[in-house]
Amino acid sequence: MENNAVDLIDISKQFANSARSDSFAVENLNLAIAPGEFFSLLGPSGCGKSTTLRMIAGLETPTRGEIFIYGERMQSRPPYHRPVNMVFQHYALFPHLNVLENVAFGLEMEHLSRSQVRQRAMEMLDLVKLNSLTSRYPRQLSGGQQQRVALARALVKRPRVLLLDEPLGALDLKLRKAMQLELKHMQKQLGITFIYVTHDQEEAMTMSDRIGVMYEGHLLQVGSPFEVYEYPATRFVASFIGESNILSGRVVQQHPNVIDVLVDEHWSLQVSRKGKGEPIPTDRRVSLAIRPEKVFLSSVQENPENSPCPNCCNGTIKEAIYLGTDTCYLIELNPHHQIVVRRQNVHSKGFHAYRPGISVQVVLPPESLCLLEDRDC
Amino acid sequence: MVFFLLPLAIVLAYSFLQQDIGGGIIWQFTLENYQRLSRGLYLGIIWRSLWLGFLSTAACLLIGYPLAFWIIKQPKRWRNALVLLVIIPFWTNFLVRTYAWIVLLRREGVINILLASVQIIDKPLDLLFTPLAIAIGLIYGYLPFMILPIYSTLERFDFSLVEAAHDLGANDLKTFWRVVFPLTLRGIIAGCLLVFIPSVAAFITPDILGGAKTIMVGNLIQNQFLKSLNWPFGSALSMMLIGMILVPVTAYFWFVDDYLRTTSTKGGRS
Ligand SMILES: Nc1ncnc2c1ncn2[C@@H]1O[C@H](COP(=O)(O)OP(=O)(O)OP(=O)(O)O)[C@@H](O)[C@H]1O
Ligand SMILES: [Mg+2]
Repeated sequence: MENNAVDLIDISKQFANSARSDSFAVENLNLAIAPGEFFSLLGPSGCGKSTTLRMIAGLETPTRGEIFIYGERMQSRPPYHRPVNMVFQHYALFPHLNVLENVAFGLEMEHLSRSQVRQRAMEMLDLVKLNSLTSRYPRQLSGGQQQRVALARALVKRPRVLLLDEPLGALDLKLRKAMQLELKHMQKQLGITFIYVTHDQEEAMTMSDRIGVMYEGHLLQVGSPFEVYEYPATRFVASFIGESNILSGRVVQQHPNVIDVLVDEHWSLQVSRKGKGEPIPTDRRVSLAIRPEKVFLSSVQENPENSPCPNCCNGTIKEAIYLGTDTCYLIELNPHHQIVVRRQNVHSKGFHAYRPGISVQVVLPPESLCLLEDRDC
Repeated sequence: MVFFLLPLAIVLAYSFLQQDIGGGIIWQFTLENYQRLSRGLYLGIIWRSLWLGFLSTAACLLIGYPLAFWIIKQPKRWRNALVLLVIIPFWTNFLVRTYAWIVLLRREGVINILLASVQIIDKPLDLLFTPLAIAIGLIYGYLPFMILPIYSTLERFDFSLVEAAHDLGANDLKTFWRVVFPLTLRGIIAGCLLVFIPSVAAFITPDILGGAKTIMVGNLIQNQFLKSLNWPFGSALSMMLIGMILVPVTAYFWFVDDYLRTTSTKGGRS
C-alpha cells in the first residue's frame, strides 16, 4: 500500500440531509492509484465523482472506510494538513486578491520567507503563462485565465496528488482541447499524480492513463482507455463510453472458444470467449454489446445466399447520416431490432454506397461482441 | 430632499442665535453656543456618549457576527425563521422593551434573584441606573441592526472559498482573517454604523436605564429643548453630533465602500 499514491478502502458516503435517508452518494468504493498516474473518474452528473474527490481532499468525511495517501492514514486529518491540493469546479478564486496574491496564498501558509513566496509564485505564473497579468483581479480575467490561476494556485503548493474537479467544464470547446493537452503535458513534466473528475468521456479518453467509470455511487470499472472501450464490464459502461448496440438474450450453449447466445429466442449469435472471465451458466440472461464501427456491412448481392455465415443478418437501411469523417447508418434487422453501424468515409463516394431503403447484410464478428452479465447497470 | 434638509437648516440657523428667557430666541448672530460646548462638563458628556456608543457597537459585533454566522450555517428551512426571530422585537414598542429591562436589572429584579439563587452573589448588585445598564439596553436594542447586514453579506458569501482556503493550508483562524473577514467587511461596517450612530445619540435608553445619574448627549439635547428651553444651545449640540457622525460616515462611503464592493463580488467567475 505504501507504493500507492492514493488508496480508497471500502469508502461509503451518506449525506445526513439527503432526500432519501438510505441513499449513498458513494458506496463501498475501492480504488488504488499509482504515483505519477493520470487517473480520471468518469460518470454522469450526480454519480458521486465530486464527493469521492472531496473525501480525498478532506472536505467531506467518509461515513465508512479509510483513505490513505502515500500510505498515510488520512482519518480525521483536516484538509489543511493533507499533501493534496484541489482545483475547484468553479475555481473558487479569492475575489479580493489579485492573481499574484491568489497564487501566493497557499505559500504564505507555509513557513517561507516573503521573497521565497514571491519567487515561487512568479515561477508558477510563468509556467501557466500568466506573468503579465499578476495584478489583475479574478473578475478581470477570462474563463481560461481564471482556470490557469486556479491551476497555478494549487500546483504552487507542490502537492503529491492534485485533485481536479471538472476544471475545463466552463471553457469553450476549442480552449478545452488546448487545455487538455497542456494539462497532460504539465502532469508528465511535473510528475504529479492527477485525479481528474469529468463527465466527458472523450476528455477522459484523451488524457488518462486509467479511467474509473462511476454510476450511482458505484465504481463499475477501472482500466486503461483501451480496456474500458474494448472490454466494457457492464451495460452502462458499454453505452456511456462511446456508442454501443446492445442486444438482450440468454446463453444456450458453451463451447471451448465461443458461447452461443440466443437473442429474442430466434436469432443465434456466437460470441468469442474472452480471457479469464468465469463461465456463465447456461440459460443466464445476458446482454451483447458491439461498437457501431465493428459491425461489417455489405450489399446483399455480394454474398451468395447459401454460404454459411454464423453471425449474419439481413436488414434494411433506414437512415444514413453523413458525419464528415464517417457515415452513420441506422439499419432495421427486424421489427424489434435496429442497429447502428458506422463506416469511415474513406472514398469520397462513400456516402453514396448505401442509400436508405436498400437491403444490406450485417455481420457481427464473434470477437467484437462483448458478453455482459445482466445486472442493474 | 427638501424635507430632509429644511429642518437641518433651521437647526443650523438656530445654533448661531441667542437664547431668550422662556424658550424664545433673539435674532442675533453669536458663536457663544459653540464656545459653551467646549466646557469640561459638556466635553465629558460627549466623551462618555462616544465611549458608550463604541462599547455597545463592539459588544454587538462580538455577539452579532457569530450569531449571524451560526444562522447561515443552519439548514435552509430554519434560516428564515431565525432571521424572523431577530426582527420580532421590533414589533413591540421600543419604550416598552426598555422598561422591561428595569424589571430584569433592578435590585429585586430577575437577574439578581437568579444570581443569588445559585449563590454567585450574597447581596443584590446595583445594576440599574449605571452605565452598564445603559450599555445593556443599547446592545439589546440595536443588536438586530448588527446582525441583519452581516447576515446579508454572509448570504452572498461563497463558502467554497473557505474550502479553497482550507485546501491551500489555511486553518480555521487564518481562513477567517484572510478570506471570510475581508469579504464580509462591508456588512460589518454597515452594522457598526447602524449601531454606533443611534447608540451615541440615544436618549430613551439612558433616560430609563441610566436614571438621572448618567447623562449622554442625547439626553442633554432633549433637556435643552424640552426642559431648559434653550433651543439655540440644543441646536449647537445637535449640529456637533451630526458632524461627529457625518465625518466618518462620509469618509467611509467616499474612500472605502467602492473598493470593498468591487472586490467582494461573489465567486471567481466573471
Ligand atoms: N452536501 C450534500 N448534501 C446532500 N447530498 C449531497 C451533497 N453533496 C452531494 N450530494 C448528493 O450526492 C450525490 C453525488 O453528488 P456529487 O456532487 O458527488 O456528484 P457528481 O458526480 O460530482 O456530479 P456532477 O457531475 O453533477 O458534478 C448526488 O446525488 C448529490 O445530490
Ligand atoms: Mg461534481
